[in-house]
This record gives sequence, structure tokens and C-alpha cells, in this order.
Amino acid sequence: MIDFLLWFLIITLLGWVSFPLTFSILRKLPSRGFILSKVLGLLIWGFLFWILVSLNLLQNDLASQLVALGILISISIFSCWKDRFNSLLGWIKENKKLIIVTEILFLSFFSLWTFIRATNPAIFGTEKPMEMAFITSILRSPSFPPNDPWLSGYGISYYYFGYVMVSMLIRIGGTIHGVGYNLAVALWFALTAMGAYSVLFDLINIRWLDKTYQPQQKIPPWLYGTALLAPFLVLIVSNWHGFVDILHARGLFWITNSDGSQSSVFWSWLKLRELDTPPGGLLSWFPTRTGGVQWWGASRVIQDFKLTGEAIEVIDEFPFFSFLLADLHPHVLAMPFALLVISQSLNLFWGGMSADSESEKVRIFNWKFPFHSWGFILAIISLGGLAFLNTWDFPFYLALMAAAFTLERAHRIGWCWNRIWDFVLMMAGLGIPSVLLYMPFFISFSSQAGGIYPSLIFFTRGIYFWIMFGPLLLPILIFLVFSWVQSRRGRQVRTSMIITLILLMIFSMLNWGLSFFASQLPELSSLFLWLQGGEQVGIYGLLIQAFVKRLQDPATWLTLVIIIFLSMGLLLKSKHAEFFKVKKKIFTYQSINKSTLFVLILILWGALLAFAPEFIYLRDQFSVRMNTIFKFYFQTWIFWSLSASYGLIILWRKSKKFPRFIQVLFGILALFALTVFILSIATQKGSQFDLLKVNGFNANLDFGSRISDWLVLGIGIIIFILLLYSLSKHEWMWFAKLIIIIGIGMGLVYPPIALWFKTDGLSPYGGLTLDGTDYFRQIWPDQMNAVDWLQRAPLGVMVEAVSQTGGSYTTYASVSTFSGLPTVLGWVGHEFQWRGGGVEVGSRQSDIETLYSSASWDETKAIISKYNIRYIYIGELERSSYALNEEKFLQHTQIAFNSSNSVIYEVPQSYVP
Amino acid sequence: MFPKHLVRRISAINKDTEQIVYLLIFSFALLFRTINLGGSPLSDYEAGTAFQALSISRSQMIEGGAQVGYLGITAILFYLFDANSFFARIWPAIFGSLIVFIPYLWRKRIGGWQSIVIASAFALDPLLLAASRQVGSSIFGVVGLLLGGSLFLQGSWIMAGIFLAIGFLGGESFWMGVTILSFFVIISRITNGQTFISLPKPNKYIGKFLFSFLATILIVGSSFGFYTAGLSGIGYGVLAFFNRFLNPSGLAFWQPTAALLIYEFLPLFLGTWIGIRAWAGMDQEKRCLSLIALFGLALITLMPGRQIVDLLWVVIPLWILAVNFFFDHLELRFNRKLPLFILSLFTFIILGYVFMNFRTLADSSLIMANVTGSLIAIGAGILLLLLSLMLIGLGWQFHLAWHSFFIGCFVFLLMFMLSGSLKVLNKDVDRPFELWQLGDRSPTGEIMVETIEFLLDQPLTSYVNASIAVVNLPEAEFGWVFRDYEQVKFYNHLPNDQQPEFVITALENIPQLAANYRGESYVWHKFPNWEKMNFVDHLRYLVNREVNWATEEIILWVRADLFPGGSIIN
Repeated sequence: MIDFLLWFLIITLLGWVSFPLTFSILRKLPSRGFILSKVLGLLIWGFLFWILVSLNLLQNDLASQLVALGILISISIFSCWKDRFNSLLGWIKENKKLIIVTEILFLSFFSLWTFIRATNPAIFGTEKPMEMAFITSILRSPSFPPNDPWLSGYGISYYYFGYVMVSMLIRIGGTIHGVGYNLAVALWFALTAMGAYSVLFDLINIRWLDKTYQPQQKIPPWLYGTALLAPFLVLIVSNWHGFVDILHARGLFWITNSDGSQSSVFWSWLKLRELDTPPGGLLSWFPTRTGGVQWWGASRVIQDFKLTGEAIEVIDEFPFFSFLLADLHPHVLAMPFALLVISQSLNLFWGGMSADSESEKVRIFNWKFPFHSWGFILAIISLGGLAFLNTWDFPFYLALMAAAFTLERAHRIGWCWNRIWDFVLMMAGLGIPSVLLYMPFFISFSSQAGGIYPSLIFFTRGIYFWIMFGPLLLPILIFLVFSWVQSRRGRQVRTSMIITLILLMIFSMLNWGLSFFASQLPELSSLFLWLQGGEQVGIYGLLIQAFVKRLQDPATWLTLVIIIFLSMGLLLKSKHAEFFKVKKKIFTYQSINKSTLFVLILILWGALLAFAPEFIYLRDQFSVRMNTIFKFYFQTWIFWSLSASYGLIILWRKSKKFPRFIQVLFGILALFALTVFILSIATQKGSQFDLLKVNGFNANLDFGSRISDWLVLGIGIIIFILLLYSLSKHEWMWFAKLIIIIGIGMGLVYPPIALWFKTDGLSPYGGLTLDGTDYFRQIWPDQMNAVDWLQRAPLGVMVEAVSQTGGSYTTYASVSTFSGLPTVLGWVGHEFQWRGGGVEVGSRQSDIETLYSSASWDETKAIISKYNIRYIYIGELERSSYALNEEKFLQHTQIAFNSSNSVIYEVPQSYVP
Repeated sequence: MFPKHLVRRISAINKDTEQIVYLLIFSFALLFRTINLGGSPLSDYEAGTAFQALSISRSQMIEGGAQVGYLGITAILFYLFDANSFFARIWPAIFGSLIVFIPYLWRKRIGGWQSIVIASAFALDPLLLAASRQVGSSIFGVVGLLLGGSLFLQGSWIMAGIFLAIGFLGGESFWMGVTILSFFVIISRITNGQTFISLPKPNKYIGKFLFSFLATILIVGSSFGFYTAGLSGIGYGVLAFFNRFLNPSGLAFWQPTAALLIYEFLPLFLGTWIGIRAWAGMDQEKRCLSLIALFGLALITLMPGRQIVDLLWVVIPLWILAVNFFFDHLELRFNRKLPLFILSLFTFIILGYVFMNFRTLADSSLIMANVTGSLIAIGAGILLLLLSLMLIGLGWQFHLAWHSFFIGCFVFLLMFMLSGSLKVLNKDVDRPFELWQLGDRSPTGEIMVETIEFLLDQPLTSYVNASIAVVNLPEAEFGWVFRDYEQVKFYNHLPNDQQPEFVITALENIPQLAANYRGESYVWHKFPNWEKMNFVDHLRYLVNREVNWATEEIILWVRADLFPGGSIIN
């Protein structure tokens, strides 16, 4: 609890310290960046600390963090020097409500996810150990780049900026590592929520001000509440897998064959992992199947299929899943900062980065950037920071900012081909300095990316795409159609269609061209054909099959083409109006104000990110679309959830309210859904209350044998009636809104189910704790005692057992993971991934085996010298993995620590040069 | 710059003469600070910091130190000249001497003669002197902040930037000063709405100030490029300051006040007197000075990590108040100079007599039978002094009697203080423990070096090649002691296959190879055992410096074959 409060205090202070900076830079945002000041503070503080340590101007310790904080405070004060300070105070006085709401919301989100983490805190499974290892290693490294925890003698070859920030907070808060990890997950959740809130708050605010034409207009109270839609859609609403899962769990669409086996055309066609076999166990509206992880499936909706029909795993995480999983992976760590860049783009789009005078402009040689220098510097720190946080994000957000700039210019001074030049210049002008600013990282980073591959046979099936994005696609499509209908005059149907078709053609040509090219390269040909499953048919057969299959299942690309076409048409329409300098007319197109224009950019960007992997993908260690889909779709989710939340507000405010009885029915629907949930949980816990004792019913299969069945049926009937009622009244907006509510409702099935499973029904076995090492302390107390000893011991290389099979995702390398001392070799597979090969790993795996098992001290000593080993750990894994020869250690080294099953031998330091 | 009504007339001192006087005081202060400067070995505390500077000069990585300013400029000295105790302490001595210029910068405000007297007091004060002669004391922070701040207020931007930067790099004492002065400013604002300092408008020259400030931080903080990561030390200073509130130093809460009584009785007595009068009257300036002194003392008393050298923040305002007292209340133009002189001399002698008897009382070897005698002697002395004062008062005038008494007291206390200052210059390693000492100045290191050199004279031509293993003992202290040796290694455990010529271990840590070695134990550290001392023991310490010691011992192991006729078993 104290740690939680301390973190809250630290981050709040950081926000206030940075607010003068956001106030000066994000000057066109109604919130003046206050809501994002914590994110910005963390970014700049982290950047200053990292760059100064990397340049060897500071050490990696608490004192240096304070120096970096001091510099941040100085910069912040300097940015608000003279007149701005008074206007800052004035703003604070006028916006007390926003300040209070922001702090309360932040505390609420932070508390909520801290509680969730306390219910399942173990740093165990998936890649949590890897992230923990990075954090502890950063905390122990004297300088940057930090030591690779699992490959002694090397620096981390990964985008580790987020871990630097987490370790900074752990260090300044004096937090135990295991607790810090979980608090970081909760903090990032809260920062992401506030980032989303900030974007929507500013979008709606500006729209409101535009519409009322009163710059001094006070913020309407409803806006504080409705802006919560953004964090709701970004972080809580999930894909439809949860909904599909409960249909499967209830055994719907399965028929029993004469031989007693079960089959289903629907589920066979759906081909979802774990759901293509009949549900086992007790059937209820709650997934209870065995042989799978109920909450996991939502992140594996999409599968790719080779031409041979072989399925390939693809990752499709979305924010709720990622935060529930609680891996502190780069895509999670980058989220608040991505939202910061979106806000900066918004500010840029509204002219907030324009220099007020010539002297304010950034000047690089003779080329004057039209920005004020503070804004420019912050932009490159943020963009470069994204590259360092999650390199995949960098091009997306760089392009977004460049697009915002280009469209702002087009909006302000009119469209011409120079705008394309503006876009290119902006990409270079921001991109190059961003990379240069973070050069120490790029120098030490060896990327695993191996170029672009054509995604010939791999494409996302329409049903998968809709299960994945359904809750967002519905509001977005309806919003686009609504905007399209609202702005009949001037919309660019033909131009938009041409551009969309050109885009489709370019990507198709790229796809086919690259495929053909790959098949002709002798060193790539066989691999390419094997990857696509086209060894039998050859390249031409593959090309034809790929084309046919896309035509057979066109839903994904067709949906995306429609979105691109609609958003492009609206964007171009706006351009056209400005081109003819019909300024007043801008306001006559009611739906196309600057907020909506920006949202259209977000929609378009999301669509393009989903569109691209249909044709090409980035080659990595796995050579399939797994990571490309993961990273691209994750960003699409962010862009679209923000857009959807904006669209929802517009649709709701533009249309007539639902009559009272419909609102009452909504209440009943919610009540029914809640009752079904409770009954299902009760069934899962063994209660028979839900079961109707009706003769003739097969309680385990027949629909209607449970109370909850009838409640679900009731829900369906009510929805059906509502839809019919809307249509009969010709209230199309009601109909559309109902569809959206249904879509989002389906997206809300997953969170409670997943939470229930992940947290053991919010009542974990070990009780509530934030300490992620608690689990290990219970099962391996001796090992954790050794870890505690190593945490206090002087820095030195340690060695522990390595799994014969690589050890990834296992408990191998736990000692180095939690102690922060670099081990000779940890998870082998991951080292291969991070370094794009095994050159650095070399013979370490066999050397470690020799070290533990050899009877010869000279041989052992040579290995000790080779890797500068100081601590030799022997625990359960070492004893079970090797034919251990411990006698030599007893003779030639000192027992530094001994606790029953765990021993640490310390090599006399003279062996360490 | 200063309000006219507050500006005092500078007494008729020629400007050139005035500057010469200050230069003389500075020279005198510097001389006083450099006598026997390298004579005594560095204490363990000092060695830790000096070794960091030495490591920097050798381009070795060090763990962060708070005294970045000191490290930066001392490393250069070590690099250019030699690493020894004198060079280790010279920069604090120079900075400590510069303190005499602070009154010079404020002379328009406090008066010409007063400033000279204050400067002289600063030159001679025992605590200022002690702080200026020790590595790692608060002198950088104090002088940097006060001198830099004074220069800033005078509009001397570049110099202000340099000194403030050095103060900024001076560790926790800078932040202590900032805390004390901030408290003063806040309290003054709340109570009076003023701070008695009008800040110059820096807009035009802020660039110069910032440039010199930042350049000094970068150059000195990075040890002139030797150790760029040294800039972290700025943060260490902040942390060290906060750690003072968390980690006890071992000094009891009353010891700072006791230190003021035994080292600074004169300024304490006069300063307190005038402080009380200022609060009774309406003298705002003196109130402020007394407030700073009071808050400084309260802060040092309350923080568990208190150090006696922190009292500089108390001593400086006390001296200004004390000198004010001297000039405001002492009338020296008497017609009857002879009785004044005689009575003053008499007072001085009687006070000396009383004090000597008081010391006898506190002597631990005193037998009870002599206690009564000493008490009678003290009582008789005081009675005699009172009688003589009364007789002079009745015979001539009470004004004269009072002044004679005061002058006698003043001279006695001045002599008392000067004796304290002279003790600071004492290089004798067996001298009594002084409260202002930072760590223990053990001669053991030098004795060990002498022993090693003596033993190696016969078998080796160059003693720097002697192999010495220091096992599980602090690297900094031994690194400093054996700084001239090339083959010194620090081990966590002594390897079985190593048999260096000399091994140094803690008393309780006997190596497995002891069969081939002959060992001799040394007292490595000797600390006053404050916790085990009762009230009488403390009183004895305060009067006679008698103290109960706690010790830490080490063993110097010498390989048997280095002795004549000795051999080792392989």
C-alpha cells in the first residue's frame, strides 16, 4: 500500500513538474496537455537520464536520476519563464475542475489495476521473466547499454527504454523489484487510460468550441464524463472472442451424430483454435473446456493457413488482453507515449506547433522549420522515444505526425502537389533527428528484422477480422456512413475511389511482384514456397490460388477498402473546400470540422495498418506474419478505438434520444446479462441452481435446460424487438445505435470471463499481494534466499543451469532474472531472437554443462576465466539438469551463501581481471 | 543595491589599504590552514574521498561521491603532482581561506571595521579552521554558496557562477545551506514581508551567469574530462543531505551544542546576547542573523546524521552578531586606563584559575579528597572576582568595572578559542579526539607501510613491487595507504593457490594459509565509544577530552620466507 501511494505521489509530482512544459508546447489543446503531463514527464525524465548515462555523463544510479529530474525541472521552469508563468497560473485557476477530475481518474485507474495485479501478481509464465530480467539488470548495470541479463558480457539488444523508465520508478520509490513490476503494469494502464481520455477530451472540446464559435466558452460538464469513452474502448472493450467462446461453451450449433460423436458445420467453418472441437465438461454460458486457457484464446483469433491447410499461429493482442496478461512488453510500455504522440499530432494539426515569429522557428542550416523550437524538440524526443520503446511504432506515428502536418497545411493554405513534398520533408525532418537523438540505442541494437516478405497465401479471413475488430468496426463504419450522408455536397466519390483502387493495385502488385521475385531467387525460392505451402503447385499455382482464396473470402480487404474509401472521400472533400478558399463553407459542412478531420486521419491510418499485412509483412526470426499482425493490429486498435469513441459521441449527440421504454429495456438487458454471468459462475463452482429439472432434457446439451438459457433467449428477443421497432419507426439512427450497442456488448463479454479465470475469481490462493516473487518464494524459498543474497552482492557474472531445449518460457534462468546479475546464458531461443542468430551465444550451452559436470578443476577454471564468472549457483535445476561435480567448487572456491537446497560458490576475485 | 537607510558609513579606511588588509587576512588564514597540513595521516573518512580523487586521476571508475567539486579539482592535483595528504587537503584549505572575502563583499552593509574584524575571526575560528583542513568537510558548500551568493548580489556574474557552481558541487552542505537560507527567506516573508536582500535584475546578464555556472559544473563536475560520469555527484549531494535525516552519524543530539560551547564559546556567548537584545528591540537584521543561527542549530541537532563541521552554518551568523556586539556596546575611551587594564588582567587571571580548577574536577584520576579543595578554590576565585568588581565599581565607577570584567572575559575566551584553533594545527596522531574530526586518523597505515618497507629492504630492490593482498577490508582506506604500491590486490576471499608476500585481514578473519605466515595485529580504528559513556564521562570529555575508546583491529600477515631463516611449505 505504501509503495502504491509512493508511486502515485512520485508520478503526480512528475506530472506537475512537467506541466509548464506541456502548457508551453501543447498550446492549442484545450487541456494544455495537463492530462498527459505525467506521461510527458516520465518520457523526458527517462530520456534525459538515459542519454546522459549513455554518454557517460552520469552513472546509472539514484543520484543521477535526481540530476536528470533537476534538469527536467529547470527546463520546465525555463519554458514558462516570464509571461507564460502568469498565464499558467491563470489557466490553473480557471480549470480546477479538469485538474481535480484528472487526478481522481488517474488515481481510480491506477487503483483498479493495482487491485487486479494484486489478485494475480506472479511474475511467472509467458515473457514476464524476460521483462523482469531486463528491469533487474538495468537496476544493477553501472552504465548503458545495460547488461544483457541472459548473455554475460553483452549489452541488451532490445528496445529497452520502457524498462529504463520502470527501473527508474522502482529505484526512486525504493520498491521491491517484484512489487515494482506489478505497480508498473498498473501505472501504465492508468497512464494509457489518461492518454486516451486526453485525446478524446481535446477532440470533443475543440469540436464543441468550433460549433459554438465562442472561444471563451466554458467546458460543458457532460464532456468530462463522455471523454471516458476513449479509455473504455481502448482498454476495456475487447474482441468478440469472448462472445463466441460462450456460444461454444453452451454447446450451441453442435449436433450429435448417430455414432454419438458431435459435429458442427458452424464451428468447423469458424476454425477458431480450441473452439473447433466439441466443448467438454459441463455446458454453461461460461467456458469450462479443458485443454486450453480460456482467457488466452482471444489473442489467437487469427490464424494463417498454408496452401496445404496447415495452420500457423498469429498473435492478435488487444489492450485489455495485454494488460490482463501483464507482460511488460514493449507494445504495452509504448502505449501512453503513442497516445502522447497522437496528442502532439492533434496539437500540430490545430496549428499548435507553428512558430509565432521568425525567431521562434527551428532552423537547420538554411532550412527553416515552421515550428517553434520547443515543439520540435518535444516531437523528436517523443518519436525517437517510441522507436526506442517499441521500434515498430516509430514509422506509424512519424507518418501520422507528417500527415497531420500536411493536412494542416492543406487546410490552411490550400491543396497543391507541394503538400506531398511537405509530407516527405516532414518525415525526414522529424525522422532523422529522432533517430540521431537516440543514436546510442541504435548503435547497440541489432535488429531481427530481415526485410519485407510478400504475404501471398496468408491473409486474414473475414470472420477473424470481424471477431477481432467487430466492436470498433461497427461504430466506425456507421460514423463514416453518417458523416458521408451528412455532407452530401462536395464529397469526392470519384477521386476517393480512384485513390483507393490505386492503393489496392499498388499493394497487390507489390504482393505479386515480390512473390514472383522471391520465387526466382535461388537462395530464397524453396524457403518461400515452403513457407506458403506451395512446393507442390509452384509459384504460378500459388499466385492463382492466393488470388482465388482472397476472392472466396473477401470480407477483410473489402471492409478495409470501404473504410479507406469513405474516410478518404471525406478528407478530400474538406481539402476541396479549402482549395477554393470557401472558408465560411467549412462550417456549413457540419460534420467536417477539424476534430472530425483528425479522427478521419486516425481511421484511415488504422485501416492502412490493417490493410498492409494483407499483402506484405516484415520478416523476423519466425518468417511468418505472427509479429507483423500483432504489432500492426495493436496500433489499429488504438487508432480505431479513439475514432470509435469520438464517433459514438457524435452519433449520440446528433440523433434523437431513445424513448424511455427502450432505456428501461436496456436496463433489463443488463440485468439479464448479469444474472446469466452469475448463474454461469455458480454452475462452474458446482451449483445446480441454474439447471431446470425438466424431464426429457439432456441437461448437458439441450438448449432450455437452464434458467440462463431462457434469460439469454430473452435478451435476444428484446434486442430483436428493439431493432424491429426502430425500423418500423424509420429511426435509422436508433437502429444504428442499437447495432453499435450490441457490438460493444459482445465485446464486453470477454473482460469479466477473462478476469475471472486469470484472477481465480478475484480470490487468489495466496491472498492479495503485489509481490510478483511471492509465488517463487513459496515454491523455491531457498532459491529466492539466494537471489536476495545476490541482490546485495557486488556485481559480477553468475552462472546457472541452461535448459537443453532452450528454456524459453520456463523457470530456467530465474536466479539471474530476479537478482539482476548477468548469467552466462539464459533463455537460448530469446537470445537468438534478439540477436538475429547464435553467433554471440557460441558454445555457452555446452560450456556451462562442462563447468557443472567436469571433474577437472583446470577445465572448470578455464571456463570461469573465459566468462569472468564470479558466482556459481547450484540449486534444484542444476542438480536435475547436470551430472553435478560439486567437490571442485568446495576445494577451490568459497561458499558465499548456503541455504539448504541452494548454494552459491564465490570465485576468489583474483580470477576476475 | 542596498536600501540607503541600511547602508552604514565605512569608517575612514583607504580603499587600497582596506584591500591590503583583506589580502593580509587572507594570507594569514591560508597560512593558518596550511601549517602541518600534510603532517597527519588522512582519517578513514578522508581517505575514502581522497582515494576517489586518486582513482579519477588514474582514470579508474569510482562509485559516486557527493563531493564532486572536491574530487574534480583534487584529481587534477594528484595527476599533476603527487597523491599525498597535503595535496589531498590543500583545496579545502584554499577555499576555507576565501571565506574572509565574504565580509569584504558585505562591508557596505555591515561597516568597514566590522567587516575586517569578522574576516579576522573567520580566519582564526577553530571550527572554520578544522573544516578547512579536512577532506570531505562542508567547506565547499558553505563557501561556494555564501561567496557565490554574495558575488551574485554584487552583480559579479561570472565569479558568482563559478563559486555557486563549486558550492553546488560541494555535497550535502550546500543543500543544508539552501535549506537554512530558504527557511529564513520564507519566515522573513511571512513575518515581515521582506528578506533584507534585494536581488539584482539579472535579465541582461543572466546569460553570463548561467554560462559560467554551467561551464564550471561541466568542467569541474567531470573532473576536467577525467571522469565525466562524476556529474552524478550532484545527485549524490542531494541524497547525502536526505540521508542525514535517515542515517545516524553516531553523534548524540546534544553534541553539536556542546561543540559550540567548547569551541565557539565567544561567538556563542556574544551572539546569543545580541540576538536576545535584537528580539527585545526591533533590529530586524540581527533578528534575521539570530534566526538563521537558531534554525541552523535546530536542524543540525534534530537530524540524526549530524556532523560538527555543519555548525559552520551557525558559527558564521554568530560571529557577525558577536562583532556587532563588540562595536555597539564596548566603549574603550576611558580616562582611567590603568585600573581598566589591571582589573581586566585580574579578571583574566581569576577566570584562568577557576577554569584550571574546574578541569581538575573533571579529571578521572582525581581522588575524592581533592574534590572539596577544588570546589573551594573555584568558589574562592569567583568570590574574589565579584569582590574586586564591586570595589572598583564603588571606588571608581560601575561602568569601568563592567567593561574591565568584559574585557577580561573577552580576552580569556579569545585565548580559549585560539587554543582550540592551535589544537587544529596539531599534527600529533596521539592528540585527544576532537568533536570536529571526520573519522579516525590512525597512524597504523603509515606504520604498516614502514614495516613492509623494512622487511623488504633485504630481499627486494623495489618495494613497490611487493605483492600485498587485502582480504575483505575496505578498498578505499587501504587503497589510499598503499597508493604507491603497484601489486596491491583486493580479494573477497584469498585464493588457495595464491601466497602473496603480505596479507592484511580483519582480526577475526584468519586465512587458511596462516601456517606460512607470521602475523601481527594492529589497531586500525579507534573511535570514542559514545554509547557506553555516562554523563560524568561526557563531562570529562568536554573539559579534559578524556574518552573511552572502541577499537577495530587488523592483522598484517607476512610470508614466513621474508624473515631471516624463514621458509614456506608449498
